[in-house]
Parts: sequence; C-alpha cells; structure tokens
Amino acid sequence: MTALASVALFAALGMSLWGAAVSILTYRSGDRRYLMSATRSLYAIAGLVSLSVAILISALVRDDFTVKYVWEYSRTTQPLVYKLTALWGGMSGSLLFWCFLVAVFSALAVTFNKKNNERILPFATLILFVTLAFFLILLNFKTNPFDPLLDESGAALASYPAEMLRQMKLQGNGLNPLLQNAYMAFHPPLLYMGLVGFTIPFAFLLGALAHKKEGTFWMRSVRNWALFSWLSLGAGILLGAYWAYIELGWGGYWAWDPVENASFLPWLTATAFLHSFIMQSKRGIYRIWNVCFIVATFLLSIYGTYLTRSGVLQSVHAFSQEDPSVPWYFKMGNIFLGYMGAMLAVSLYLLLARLPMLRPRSRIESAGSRESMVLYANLLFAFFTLVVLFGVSSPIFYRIFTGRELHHGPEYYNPRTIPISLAILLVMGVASIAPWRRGGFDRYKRNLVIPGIAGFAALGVSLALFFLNGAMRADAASRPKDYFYLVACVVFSAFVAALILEQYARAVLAASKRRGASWLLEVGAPFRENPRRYGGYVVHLGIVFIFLGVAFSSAFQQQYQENVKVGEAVRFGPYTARLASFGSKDMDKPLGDVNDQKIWANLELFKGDHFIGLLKPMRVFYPSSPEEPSYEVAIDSSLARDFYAVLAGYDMSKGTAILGVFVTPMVAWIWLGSIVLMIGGLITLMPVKRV
Amino acid sequence: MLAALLASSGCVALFLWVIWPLFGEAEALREPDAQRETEENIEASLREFQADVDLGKVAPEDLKQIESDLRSLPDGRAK
Repeated sequence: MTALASVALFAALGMSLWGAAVSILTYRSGDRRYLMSATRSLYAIAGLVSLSVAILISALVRDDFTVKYVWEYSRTTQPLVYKLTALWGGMSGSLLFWCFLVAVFSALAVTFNKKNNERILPFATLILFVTLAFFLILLNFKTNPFDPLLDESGAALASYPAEMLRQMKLQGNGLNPLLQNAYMAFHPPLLYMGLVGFTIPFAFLLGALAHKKEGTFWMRSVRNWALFSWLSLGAGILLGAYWAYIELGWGGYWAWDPVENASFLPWLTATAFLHSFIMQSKRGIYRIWNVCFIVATFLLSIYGTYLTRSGVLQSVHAFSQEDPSVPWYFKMGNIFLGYMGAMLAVSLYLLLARLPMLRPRSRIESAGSRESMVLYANLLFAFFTLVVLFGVSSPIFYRIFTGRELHHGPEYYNPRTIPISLAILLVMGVASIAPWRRGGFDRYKRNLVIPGIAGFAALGVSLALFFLNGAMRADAASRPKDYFYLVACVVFSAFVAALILEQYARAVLAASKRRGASWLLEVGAPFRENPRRYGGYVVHLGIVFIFLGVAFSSAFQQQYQENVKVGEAVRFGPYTARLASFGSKDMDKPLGDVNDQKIWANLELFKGDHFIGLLKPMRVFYPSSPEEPSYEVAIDSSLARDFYAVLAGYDMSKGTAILGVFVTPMVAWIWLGSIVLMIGGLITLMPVKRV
Repeated sequence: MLAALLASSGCVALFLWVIWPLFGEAEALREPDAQRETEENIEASLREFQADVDLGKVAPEDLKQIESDLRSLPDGRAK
C-alpha cells in the first residue's frame, strides 16, 4: 500500500509539471483545449494526493511500523484520535496534508470559476501548478512520509539509538506529548486551511494581472476564499492560544513565539485586505494596496512554513533540524527561499507592469472620510506587520552575521504593538460611523452622541475606581504607562461597543419602519439584508471583548507558588485551596503498556467559606518522554477571573505538593470574544440577498 | 508484481484522461460578461449607499458623485 502511495505522489508531481506546461500553452494560445487538460490535471493531482493521505491515515490507524513516519509519530496504545492527528504531527505528514489542501482547494476554485473567470485561469492555474510542484518535489525527494523504517538490510534508517529502537520497535515512538490534546485535533488543520486558502486569491490576482483584467468582478469571486481563509486562520490562532493556556502550564496564552507570530503575520495583512477591498469594490480605490496585501499574505503564509521547517528557529512549533551534510541547494530552507523568491519576483514584475491599470477611480477628498479611515487602518496594519516581521526575522539575520543568538520577547513587542493596537481599535470604531466622501464634525456629530457618552462614562468609572482605591493608585504610580494603556483600552472599547450596538439598533428600527412591523420581528433584518456589514460589526464586537480580556489579564495577573501538605489549606489572594488527597491512573502498570500515566492533586477551592469546586491539576507521563511529565492544568473559570492551578511538583510518599497558581481577571473574555468573532465571520460568509 | 502492474496501468489511464481534451477541436477561451458583473456590483453598492443615506453616513448630494466615480474608467473617462 505504501508503495502505491509513493507512486501516487510521484505521478502527482508528473501531473503538476504537465499542468504547468499546458497552462503556459493556454496562456500563449488562448486555446480552451489546453485549459481543459490543465483542469483535469488538477483533479488528477487532488485525487492522487488524497489517495496518499488516505494510505498514510490507514497506516497510522493500523500501526504499520514498517513506515518510519508511523513509527515516529504513533504508538499502539495511542488513542485513535491522536493516531489520526499524527497525520500533521511531523514534518513530512504535515507537508503532505498541506499539499492535499492546496490540491483540493485549487480543484474547487477552478471548478467554481470556470464559468465567470475563464479568461484569467491560464496564469492562475500556472501559479497553482508551480505551488503544487514545489510541495510535491519536497515530498518525493526531500521528506517522503512513506519512507520505510528499516532498509533492505534491516538496519534502521532513522538516526535513533539502537536500544531505543529495540524497545520501541513493536509499539512505536508516539506523538509528541504536547500534541496529545483535544484542541490539537483542530488547531493545526484550521491553521493550515487558513494559510493554504490564501493561495487561491494570490493565484487569481496574478492571473488577473497577467491577463490585464482590471476591475473588481474577478476579485469578488475570490473574496469569499480570502474571508474563509481569514476565518480559519483566526480560529486556528485563537485555538492555539487556548491550547497554550491549558497545556503549557505557564498561565499565559501568547508568548510572542516566532512561529505564533509567523501565523499572525498573514492574518494581519489579510485583515487589512478584507477592509481595503470594500473600498475597491465600492469606490474603486486602493487597488495597489490590495495587490500588495494579497501578495504579502501569501508570501507570509509560506514564510511561516519556512520558519518551522527550515530549522532556522528554535520554537515549540519547530520540526527537526536538518542534517548539516546536505548540500546547500538541497536544504529545506533554501528550497523554500527559492520558491518564495520566484513568487515575489513574478508578483513585483506584474505589479510594476500593470501599475497604470491599477490607478484609482476616485480621490480621497477629506481626512475625516470613511475612505481615509480605511487608509489609516491600512497604514496601521502594515506598520504592525513590519514590527512583528522585524521581530521574527532579525534574530535570524543576527545569527547569520554575528554567530550569536538574539531573542525578542514581550519587551520588544509590547511597547510597539500596544499603541498600534489601540489606534486600530479607535479607527475600527470611527470608521464605521465615518461619512463617505466628506468628513467634518457636523457630519459626525449625529452618530457620535451615544458612543461618546459611553466612552466618557467608561473614563469616569475608571478614574473613580482609581481615586477610590489606594492600592491601585500605588500600583499605577509604579507603572503609569500600563495604566494609561489600560484606561485607553477601556474607553475605546466602550466607545466602539456602544457605537456598534447603536448602529445595529438603528438598522433594526429602520427595517421595522420600512415594513411597518414590530422591531422585535426585525432583529435579524440587518444580518439578512447586509450580512457583510453587520457580520463585520459582530466581528468587531468580538475584537472588543478580546482587547478587554487581553488588557485586564495582562495587567492584573497574580502568581503564587506554595508547598502544601495533604489536609493543609493555603491562601491564594482571596481564595483558599485545600489539598485533600492525591489521585493516580495506571501508575501501577509498566509505562510501555499504556499510552500515559497520570498523577493529580485533589484541590478543594474556597472563597471565604463558600466552596467553589474541586480542581485536579495533573502531571502526565508518556512513554516517549518519561523523565519530563506534561502538565494538565486545572482551571475554575468565570467571566470575572480564572483560578488556574498547576501541579509544579509532588512527593506522594511525604504527601506534599508544590502548587503553582495564577489568578487572572477576564481571560474568559478572550475566548468569549473569539466565539463572537467566529460567529460574525460566518455571518459575513452568508450570501447577500438580491433585492 | 500485480500491484505494480495495476498502479502503472492506473497512472497511464489517468494521464490519457488528462490529455484527452487535446484531441478535440480548437476553441477560444470564453470571455465573461464583465460588463454585466460590473453593473451588478455598482447597483449593489449604490443600494448600500442608499441605506447609508438613511443612517446619515452619506449626504444625498454626494451619492451622484459616488455613482459617477463608480461608473468611470481608471483613466477618469466616463464609461
């Protein structure tokens, strides 16, 4: 079966080269026969790569340890769900999954655009075939997921110690323990769907430029691809943050890890594109911005993949390092750089060659108009992207030129990104009430009354709390900038939330008046009549919740660490936790016979005399890393605060435990905001009602 | 041996299916009705602008200029 998969991957590479050749012939001749052949090539590649994926999944489920990848990332005792998620748990499997998504998305995009956008397809398919060929070359010649564990002589191909191989041979090495988490079943595929999805708008953009097709009609057809990808990527990033929060045991959710940042970069440029495209569609402006944003989004998606697979970065997300004996032209990182360089060169050439075609149809007439607001947003997003890109990339160049290590953490990112984020929050609000074409206070004032009152009320409440609370005043004196940002975030959030709710209420009342029906019957009308705008408002509301959650949880997290004996109670701020007992699962069995062994502390949590609940912070031992048990944190969560307990250490014979505790306000707002954001995003994908 | 034979036959059959259209008659690529698409886009945008008039986000006198901008070519000439 695995031989069949290898043949399928090789045939898919042949098909992609054939497809690229007939795409060039279609581009040069305009003959539809070549395009039909190219389209069939895409379907064939999608089928062949799907077959390979199915065979790898089958091998993982059947514990077929003759395949090196299966042995490395699966184990007989591993639960079925983690055998399935092992598909993207390693380098070659994740590249196969990536290639599968490119193939399927490309086939779907070409199918849906055959009727309306046939004229731009030849060059678009060429880009898709080149992208597929790039991944298939990697899979066939660089990192094949179907390589055997043992060669013909029976020697291990893998560079594992002989003793480890002997012990693990029958059971498999197993998936990285950090990835054995339910959220990991969704985080990588969502992320990949987002990153891969941006290939389609990129290919269609280059197709339109190459075929000199100005206008927005082709772009509207890929807008939903961009929106879907943006939504998937956003969901992937937020799930990743949640996973980091509950799995890594450090009380945080975002560490400015280089690979986290690398997935965040294309999300930033895609967000800018989705807003800027509204202006292109409605006012015929910002075409060059949009071209730049699509190209940047695609290249940054590939850049993130390059960072995790080239070995240039040390990160929780990085795959294995490359063998130094590999020649430079065959190193994974250099192959990625070659592909990215080629795509950048083609994009720049087409952009410069088609500049006259991209001229705006109208001018920006006022600095206070809605058109200007989107321009400010574009500038802010571009600046944010550059700050993060510099933070991710500069350590790589620093190491190349000096041979020394450099790491940028929160001390680099926070002072730069917080002011930009607050400016984006403010522009996000003002843009939704900004008048089209012309600004001026007289045009704003009607829409500013209620949000203005909400903003000032939030400021008043913040200042009152500040002056009434002596401890807070003392804290603020030691870090005034943090408090300034916090108050700004609260005021802007109140302003934006009130503004969104007011706009929505007015739209409901307008619909009610138009139809002569009760407003209660029209609460869904704005979403039905203009899902993009009002879905967008819901997204903005989700962003407001996330801003508040991040601001408060970052500013007021309290951290404790205490040694506790069984039966003893310890205070953590206003809370008391009593270590009632220890519990365990499968600790009496040999570790090799089970997927994991667990030890936990039974913690009774009280606030005053009120019993809140029983928490079970846990350590989990996996056969692949018995010396380094993973954390399973226990959280009592509410909208007001999270009580987060970690079993940092224990001695069951003495009945003692070391408890790490984080009491963090409003973290749940981040997850609530994420859900609201996703719901809003799904609303924007609803078809627009034609009147 | 049989598996290898089947796999290679499958690949050949797939390739024949892929190149089959080349044996048909030459045909030019279809030009989409871009004009109709553009008109629809303009009409949809203008409907949304009309809703914005009700919400005070666009002045009635600006609507004409916005419509004229939408109907102009990139070089500023009217369609």
